[in-house]
Amino acid sequence: MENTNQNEFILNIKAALRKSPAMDSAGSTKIFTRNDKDKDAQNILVTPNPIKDRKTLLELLVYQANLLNINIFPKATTRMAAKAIKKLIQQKSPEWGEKKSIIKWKHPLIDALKLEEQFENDDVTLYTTESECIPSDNDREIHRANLIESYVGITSADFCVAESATLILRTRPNQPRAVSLVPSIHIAVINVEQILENLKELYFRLIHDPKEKQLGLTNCMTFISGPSKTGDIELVMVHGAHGPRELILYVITG
Amino acid sequence: MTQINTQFYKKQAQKAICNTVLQQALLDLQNRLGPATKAAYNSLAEGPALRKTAHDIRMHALENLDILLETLAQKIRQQGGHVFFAKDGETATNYCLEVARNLNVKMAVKGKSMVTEEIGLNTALMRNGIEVNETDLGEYIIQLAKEGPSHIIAPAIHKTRKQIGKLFSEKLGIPYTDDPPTLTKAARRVLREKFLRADMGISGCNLACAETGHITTVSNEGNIRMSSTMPKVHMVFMGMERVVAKLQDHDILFRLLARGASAQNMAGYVSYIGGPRSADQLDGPDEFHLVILDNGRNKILADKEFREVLTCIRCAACLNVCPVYGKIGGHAYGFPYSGPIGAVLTPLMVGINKAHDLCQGETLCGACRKACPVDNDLPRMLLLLRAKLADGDKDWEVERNNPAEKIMFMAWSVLIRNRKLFDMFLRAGYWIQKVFPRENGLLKKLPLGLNGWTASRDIKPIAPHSFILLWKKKHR
Repeated sequence: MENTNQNEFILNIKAALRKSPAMDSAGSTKIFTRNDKDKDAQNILVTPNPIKDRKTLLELLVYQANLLNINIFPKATTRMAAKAIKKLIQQKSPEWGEKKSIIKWKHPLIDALKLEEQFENDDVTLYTTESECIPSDNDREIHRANLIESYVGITSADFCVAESATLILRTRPNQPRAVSLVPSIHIAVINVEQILENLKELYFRLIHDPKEKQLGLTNCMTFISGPSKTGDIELVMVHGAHGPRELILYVITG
Repeated sequence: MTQINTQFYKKQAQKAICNTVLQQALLDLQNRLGPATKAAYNSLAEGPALRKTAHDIRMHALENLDILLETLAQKIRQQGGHVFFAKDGETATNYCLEVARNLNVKMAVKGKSMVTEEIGLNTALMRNGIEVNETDLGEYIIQLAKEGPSHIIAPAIHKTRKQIGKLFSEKLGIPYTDDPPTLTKAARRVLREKFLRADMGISGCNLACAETGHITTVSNEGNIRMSSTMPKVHMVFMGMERVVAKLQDHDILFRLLARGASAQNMAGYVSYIGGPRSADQLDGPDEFHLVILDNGRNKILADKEFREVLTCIRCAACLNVCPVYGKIGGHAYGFPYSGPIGAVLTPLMVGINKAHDLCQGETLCGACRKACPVDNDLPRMLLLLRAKLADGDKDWEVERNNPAEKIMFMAWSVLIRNRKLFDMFLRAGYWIQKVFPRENGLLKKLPLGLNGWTASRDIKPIAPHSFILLWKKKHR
């Protein structure tokens, strides 16, 4: 059923475009070829950014982030970031219920925070989204329950675009997509080297950097540019619609 | 197809003009977003000229639509998703119902999607016993109020906070408040529970990427992310024209979309979704279905004059600057697509005669074209629709809208090509008009047939002699 529908559908389009039905897709890869002048700009692919540029990028990011209600805190070390997170958790109460639970990605930068140590003596539950190679249905159910229970979700990111204060998150095993979505507060921790200047650079890297090409976009890549918000009531801006109502970004500067 | 109410345009427009609440809301909307969008285009590194590049990208994609859709379908299937091609709304909704039945879906959550409004999806699902919850705050509000959207991006813009406060206190049982944050919080709580309990999440698709095999969703609220992540099946409806070839096209188009829609640099949330979760992922939907819809678009594609209208990325920038929309609001258009884009698209979709008021009611001021992030030449297409209404058209099955008008113009054409006859006509008119009521030297009321003009304004009477006659006399 699926295929006959498709065949007829595509034939109709070909007819609309005055293409012969026999014209097949082989000679069609032209539409996917990139402009040649992109190859000239290969020098954009210097990873990571030279140190002198990082300061400017960070300043730009801080400026844009503040406009978008993102709470951004540059920290010299992961230890300092971890202490800041502890303080934050002490100050913030859960939106639903009383229990303070945190769910975090299994990620080198987040592991480096050593949050289990920070919260050793606190009444805070920590969940880490680590799973077997192939999680079972039971694993997923537990993860879902942890997710719903947690009021803080901690993730890292692949990149952060300074011009629009956008975090780019790929979805990976052990780095599930809902951690940046379901809890009321989203904390993101990145390295200053991960900051890109603008969206143009981001797309350029995604398209031309061999490392990025190999990773691909994954089956779910999310761009996050602030906490959730809406203006649907009389165009009055309100933060905290359905996604997290706060986005807190720690940038480890070193 | 959803219910078509284009024939009530005049009546609805008149109602809207008398609605002081609506008038203020539309004024605020246009004052806020119109200039802000213009400034946002100017803030682009490439300047507003980027819009023309975007236009070319979209046209190029349309010219290769067969290839792009086949590639997209192939890639999504490789990634474990299902792709269904639907020639019309009924086919699309039936597919959705079948999937829902197979998976025992009782409750669905929905992100805002114009294409699902177009095909009347909600009604079809509810008739089959499936509870449908709109989750975009604006759509949620109008769903509670049992109304249709009045704007593509801000569907409840016609409602005041007081009206919404009253609505929420009635329907949700909360104490009355008109404070937007409090109202938003109330909706957040109610809808969170729906997200977590839903069996199916339904969304539209902003612009799919054929090269990589992804659909994209754009929102600020996070409701589309919730709808496409938490339930076990994600169903996507996509107008067949909503696809680009390459990832690099998105860079330009997303930056323009955010500016056109709400004067932002980038929307709050953009997701690239390529299929269901993979076996090694802890969350995400188990099943992914993409429904690609024709529903009249292919016919538009086939017509080279109208193909351009398919470049639209549904940002509503045109609504935010249109002087007509700014007075009559979205409901007058009688179909989910309102404003200048609606004035072109709706007639092409539901019938040009049926929706003739829509394209005739626009002023052709051109503000829409200037505001459009993809430089869509809507004024040209509005004129073309009107030409078809005047002369009739076989391809689009248009009957002459006003045969009497044609006869009148034929008579006029004879009259003005014959000087003697024309002078006689003027002379006769000069004498006949002496019986029409005057004020301040102007005619206040013309007889039936011509009274359309004097219904709201006066007209100068015909002079005793024409200029040519006076000149001839003077210079004999």
